[in-house]
Amino acid sequence: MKAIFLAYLLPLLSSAFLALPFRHSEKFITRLTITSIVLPFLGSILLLALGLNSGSFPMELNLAIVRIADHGFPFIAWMDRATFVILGLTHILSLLVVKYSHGYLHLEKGYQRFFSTILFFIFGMEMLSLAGTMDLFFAGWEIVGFSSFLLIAFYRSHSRSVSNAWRIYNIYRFCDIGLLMGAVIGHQLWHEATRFSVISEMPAFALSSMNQTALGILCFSIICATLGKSAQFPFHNWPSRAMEGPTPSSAIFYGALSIHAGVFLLIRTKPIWSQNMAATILIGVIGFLTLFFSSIQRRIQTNIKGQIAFASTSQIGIMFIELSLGFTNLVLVHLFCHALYRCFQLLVSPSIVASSTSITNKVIYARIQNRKNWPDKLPANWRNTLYLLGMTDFSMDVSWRGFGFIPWKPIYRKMKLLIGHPIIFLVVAGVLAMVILWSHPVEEHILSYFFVSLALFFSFKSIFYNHRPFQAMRDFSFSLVCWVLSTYLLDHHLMHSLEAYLTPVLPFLIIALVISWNFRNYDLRNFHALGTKHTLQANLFMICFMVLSGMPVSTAFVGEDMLLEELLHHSSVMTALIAICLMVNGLLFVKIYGRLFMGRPAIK
Amino acid sequence: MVIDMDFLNEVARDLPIIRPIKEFIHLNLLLPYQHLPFWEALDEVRTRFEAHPFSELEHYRKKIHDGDLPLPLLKKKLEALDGIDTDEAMKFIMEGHFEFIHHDSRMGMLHECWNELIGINIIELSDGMLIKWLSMFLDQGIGHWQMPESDEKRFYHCIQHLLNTGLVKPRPFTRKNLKTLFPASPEEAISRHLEFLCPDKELRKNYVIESIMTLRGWAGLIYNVQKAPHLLPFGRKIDLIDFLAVKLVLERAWIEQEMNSKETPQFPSRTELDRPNTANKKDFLAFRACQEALEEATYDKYIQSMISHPWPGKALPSIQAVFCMDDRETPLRRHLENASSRVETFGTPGHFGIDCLYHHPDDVFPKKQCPAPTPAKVLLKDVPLHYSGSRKDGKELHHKHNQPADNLIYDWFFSYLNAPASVLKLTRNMFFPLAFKSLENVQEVKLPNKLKVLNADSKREEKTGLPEGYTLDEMANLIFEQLQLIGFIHHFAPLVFILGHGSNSENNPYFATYGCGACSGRSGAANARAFVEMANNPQVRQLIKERHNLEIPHTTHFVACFHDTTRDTVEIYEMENVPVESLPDYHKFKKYLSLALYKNAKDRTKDFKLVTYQPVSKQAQKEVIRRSYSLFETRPELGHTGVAFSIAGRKEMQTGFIPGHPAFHQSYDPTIDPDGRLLTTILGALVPVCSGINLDYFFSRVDNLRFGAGSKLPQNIVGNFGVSHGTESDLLFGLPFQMIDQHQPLRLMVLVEQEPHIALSALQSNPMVRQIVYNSWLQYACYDYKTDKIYFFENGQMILKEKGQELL
Repeated sequence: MKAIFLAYLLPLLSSAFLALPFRHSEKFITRLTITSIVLPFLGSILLLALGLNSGSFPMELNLAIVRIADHGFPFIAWMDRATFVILGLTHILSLLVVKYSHGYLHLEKGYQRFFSTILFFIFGMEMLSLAGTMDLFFAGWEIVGFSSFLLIAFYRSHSRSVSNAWRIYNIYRFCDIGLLMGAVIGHQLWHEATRFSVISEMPAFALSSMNQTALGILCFSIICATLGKSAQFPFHNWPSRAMEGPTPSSAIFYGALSIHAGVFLLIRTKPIWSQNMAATILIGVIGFLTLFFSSIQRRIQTNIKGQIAFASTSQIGIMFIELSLGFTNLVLVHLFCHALYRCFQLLVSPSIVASSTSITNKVIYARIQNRKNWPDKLPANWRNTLYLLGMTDFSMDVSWRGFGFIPWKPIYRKMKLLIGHPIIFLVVAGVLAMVILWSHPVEEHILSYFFVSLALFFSFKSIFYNHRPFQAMRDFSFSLVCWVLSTYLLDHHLMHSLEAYLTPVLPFLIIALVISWNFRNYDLRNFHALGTKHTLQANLFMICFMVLSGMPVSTAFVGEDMLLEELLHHSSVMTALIAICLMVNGLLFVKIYGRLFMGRPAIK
Repeated sequence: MVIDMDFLNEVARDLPIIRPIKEFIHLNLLLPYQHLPFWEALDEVRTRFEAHPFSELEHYRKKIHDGDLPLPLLKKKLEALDGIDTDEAMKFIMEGHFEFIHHDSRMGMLHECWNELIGINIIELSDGMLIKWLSMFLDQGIGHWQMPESDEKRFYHCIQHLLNTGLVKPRPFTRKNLKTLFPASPEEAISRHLEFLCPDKELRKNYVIESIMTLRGWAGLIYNVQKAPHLLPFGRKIDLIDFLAVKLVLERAWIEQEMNSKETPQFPSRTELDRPNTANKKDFLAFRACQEALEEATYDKYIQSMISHPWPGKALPSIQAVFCMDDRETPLRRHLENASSRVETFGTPGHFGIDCLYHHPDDVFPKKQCPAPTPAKVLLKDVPLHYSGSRKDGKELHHKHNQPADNLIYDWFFSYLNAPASVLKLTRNMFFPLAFKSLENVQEVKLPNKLKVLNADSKREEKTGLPEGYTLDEMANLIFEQLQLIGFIHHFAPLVFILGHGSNSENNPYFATYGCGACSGRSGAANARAFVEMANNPQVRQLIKERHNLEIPHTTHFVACFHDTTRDTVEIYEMENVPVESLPDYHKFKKYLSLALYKNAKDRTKDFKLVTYQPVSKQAQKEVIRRSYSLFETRPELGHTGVAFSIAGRKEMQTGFIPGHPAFHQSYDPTIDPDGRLLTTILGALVPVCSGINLDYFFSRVDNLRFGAGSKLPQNIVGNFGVSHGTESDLLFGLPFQMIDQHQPLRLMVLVEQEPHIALSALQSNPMVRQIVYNSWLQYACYDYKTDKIYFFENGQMILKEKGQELL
């Protein structure tokens, strides 16, 4: 049975193959893609049949264990009803979309890139749906997020597409902190990777005997994670911004699959959060808020893709409500139907013009004239307020912007001297620390807190303050050094997992530093579109980025996971800080990559 | 300094001409520069818009390699140009490297100064809001909830009202700043905010220009709507002043919100802004020489092919057919004439001289069915024969669920109910497009309707103020005029078919670009039917005989048809009226026609690249029909791709043919036109329409980024009137990449069969024609049928070019 799972690797292999710089014919690419979808699809059918036949459904399969420094990272598959719903959906829809794209993207420049990314995404979805542990789930989740970024920025020379992709990736990363923390807390609670099989079979009293604070944090981490991917309040605006790629990619991501990943996570972890009254209510409230806000925005949207985006988020809001009320099976059906329906709507969205050759058609004209909206029944002031808020997206985007960017600026300005000369800063800080250490043999972990805050400082600085690629990369390295140092100071035994993390990271860090040195004179506030000229460096940088930001493509991912887990035994605050650090550092690469290699240079 | 409508009109010169997407009309994308000679305009435009108005260097190299662009000719062209060294230029063309970098057009220098001062892209913030507001205000039925009072107030006041009455003010507005931000009138707002945004008086005009140009597409649409408000069925009051006022309000509001101190940015000086053209003149000239040489070589090739294929001559026709002069009809006509020696065809603009508004019974408003520059003269109504209330047709059912339902609860239910149907529809369309043709017909006219043409007492319709049809006199004049124009006055066969054309394609926002250019991008079926209605009227025939001494025999019967250029199918209307004695001819014609359609489909299939097999005729027709039904087909047909020639003359003239460069064929008999009156009429329609099509394709192809709409794939429909990239971009204009990627840009050559002095004098009376030809936006040539010589128009004269002479 395990052999079947090899089929699920096919999309990854094909994706990597297509990402190589050899050009293939459109026909070959499509055939390869279809094969890489059909085989795993048949595999799933076989699995389902075998499972049903043996009566061991739902079932867990131990596929492999990767051992690094006496620490095992298990690959476990967990198959239940939800798994097959998502898997089936993934394969059916991606088959349709691939067939559609074959004609639709004909003669398009990025044909191969598109299919490569779609395959990568399919692999992510497979991983996510089959994952038996939270860590594997997180890996799939990250892949989905990253391929989403790549497809939003599919038109690399469109600066707006790239900045929208970057903005959405920010939200993803922010919410991913939740899932990462969730995975780590799970480790602590169950003393192994959080296995969905264990969760689903766990009796309620077993949960109530566990550490309630940790459980509570786990619930809220999970909810935080779903907010980003499934675009729920307060992040429900991003899908309308994400409609920048080719229509089929928008359809499969924001109509159908990616956007339902959060709901799927909630279904998976239901036994955990349903025990916590506050979390259950929170899910319902989030669903309701999303429903309220996005249904108003949906009414107001006058571009068809934006309208579908908000319609999607409001339906997912309904799913959240259904979940909090406990109708898991209903949600599964709803999810399945909704994904198919929206995917179709997005794919045929260009035909809205033709179908309303039509506004002048009597029937349609009358229908448009007679549209009823409940806010019209309100007093004019209220109605206008709602419309106004809807048309400015409830100021949500700009508020987040304000939150993320503006308060930092004066602080940075005042610290200009220090920031301007980080080496001096580092030396001064180092000397100070040594002096303190020498005069007061204080507990070492105070020092490690000092270093972790330094790391955070450098992370944020590199992303918000530095305008030159090399400076930013340098500060990234400082940040890395600082948090590595701080973990080491906390507990020397962490060296093992640090090793697992650093071995793949260091060579790529050097490559990334060299590349950023090559482009040290470019200003990161503008786009430079160097990707066409320096393709090799761009691709190398992309690989560096994937490794350094802990994408599940190297052992760094496992190392990161192990490290955080062990850290949690020592200090939860420290773990959270380092998790934030890791996430922010991941963003930096997207920023540098986008600004250097994509977009279109501004007038100068 | 005041910013008033006069100044804005001046600015609007540089705005693209955008109409609502369903009204797509091919126009010279550089129409505002048409008063300049072609090359000067290109030189001007390439610096102004930072565009590269030529094909890539590789394109010309390939042409040189293939022998389409002879090197000696290129040398000759280079030598004729001043300011360029021939050898150097040749070296550049053959081996040089040329890369044109487009910069981001969203930002101007002055706005960039603000951004730098504040550190955040203020303009992106304010433009993002403005785009949304505009699309909400102008919406034509996509949004479920209309902006309150958008049908009464003008844009500025509508926004002002919303902000003032709203109980909560969205960022960046507050209760306090609203009063200062929104003075009573938009003019006041403009002058007040300009003072703040651009304290330097000298630079204010530049600031305004920049503000408008960063949203060229939207401003273009607004300017066109302002000039012709009927373009939007749900009327909206908006003009450039509103647009500018709200834009400045937003810019100021955001700047004040984000600004920490009271600094003002350091604007560059005027001299810096009006930098002289620094782009490389030499490259420009080298490209120009390439383009000129390529054009001349192709024109020459065409003339050679015309000479080497003489007209075989024909027996007396038993069937005649009048087509649109459209280049997509030309091959069909050729196939039809090859099918039988007794078929004769004619070409004329596809509105058949009927400048009308056409009102379909299913429609609320009439639609314009004549060339874009011509005003409609009559209103023609289709009256259903058996009226059955408001009809729910297939269109309604098919596309009901491609938009989220109005009501959230419905939407919820539909997502359950429609899921299986959606998958089924998709699968079916993708794998068996022909088995289930559940497609709407965008452009066909649904019968049974009766077209009301006769309006003896010239009654006028109230709304439009146009007469509801023609009087008998008008009809007689119109029919005679049209027949005379195409030289169709000698022999009338028993059956004369009048073919209008249009196109049906699925999932294609640009469907209107495939329509009939002479019918404002719609189908010409209604015009064909109106023409037949008039020509079959015995009273009209009687009048024609009395007035113009032209007898149309009573045995002759006119039949209206509709040719779908995407599917290559023809629908014949009211065949029950065909007289019994003509039925054999009728069936023969149907046979010939289906043969010709097969052949035409086969030729077309070869041009579609995904089709690898050598299609058998039947298969080919299936393939073209499949393309029209497929949801994922971005190239349902190739439209006017490659169009480079326009020929007006008798059959003898219309034998030339170069693969990849179709031609417009207008029938014209020079022998009945000694004073050039008819030629003037013909050129009046032919030159603007054909050069509009040609130059639309030309500029979209050479610089798709600046003049075109980019790729079709990520496009999003906004408010039923435009397309944008993603959800909040500028409106797109021009043609999308998928429509022009096979196009080989050449200027149009108009070749008429006439003596040179008449050909020259025919240009004079119509100022538009004169402007286009004299500024060489196309190449004009004439073939003197009396002396058998060819003359080319150069510098205001017709210059003799020896026929058959090897150019080099």
